[in-house]
Amino acid sequence: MAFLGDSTFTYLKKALDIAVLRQDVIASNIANADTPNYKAKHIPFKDVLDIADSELKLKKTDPKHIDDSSGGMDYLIKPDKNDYITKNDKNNVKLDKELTDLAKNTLLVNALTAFEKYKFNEYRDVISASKNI
Amino acid sequence: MDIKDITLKPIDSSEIKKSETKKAEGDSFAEILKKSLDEVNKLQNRADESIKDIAAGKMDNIQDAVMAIEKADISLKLLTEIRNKAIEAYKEVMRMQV
Repeated sequence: MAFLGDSTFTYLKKALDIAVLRQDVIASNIANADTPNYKAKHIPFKDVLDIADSELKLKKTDPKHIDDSSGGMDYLIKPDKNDYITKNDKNNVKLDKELTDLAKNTLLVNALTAFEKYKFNEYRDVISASKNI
Repeated sequence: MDIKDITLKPIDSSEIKKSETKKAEGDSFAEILKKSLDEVNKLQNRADESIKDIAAGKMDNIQDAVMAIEKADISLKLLTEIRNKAIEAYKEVMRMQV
């Protein structure tokens, strides 16, 4: 294993990328809460990395084909299938649900950053442990 | 971590002799160190696994992960401290006038 080549860092990076993308999706849902015909999108919290691990990418047979932006994670964004109830303007954003998801996502980001900090501190501890011999 | 073997013994010549005979049966310091090294490694791996589970969204309870991480952290710190003490003792012996 290479130094700092720990797979935990890869996992944390991917999970944080997804969490940031989810933050954007929720923000767009909230921003479009009053937009007619807008349908809510979401990224599931459960078992996201299994999909992200398999590296699904758009096949490009021509250079003019559209690039998948944001590192090819856009396929994670799904329409909210549980929300059939729409308002009169065909908008199905539920503001309270979005706010709950936002709080949950913030907690997840905090936890993941804390774990990352811990992982780096581990290395730092071992490196500086021999200083006071 | 197994530190059962390290116990305070009263200073008494008969007791010392008894402990010397006991030492032959028990683990040496190096063996104890190696065992605890394995244990620390196991705890680190467990902490890594729980971090990965949280990141992948497989595990909901963050408190378990934090518990595993803290265990791994404390055991690693104790291990490095014990190593430092051992090296310190070695250096002390090397400095000794004969």
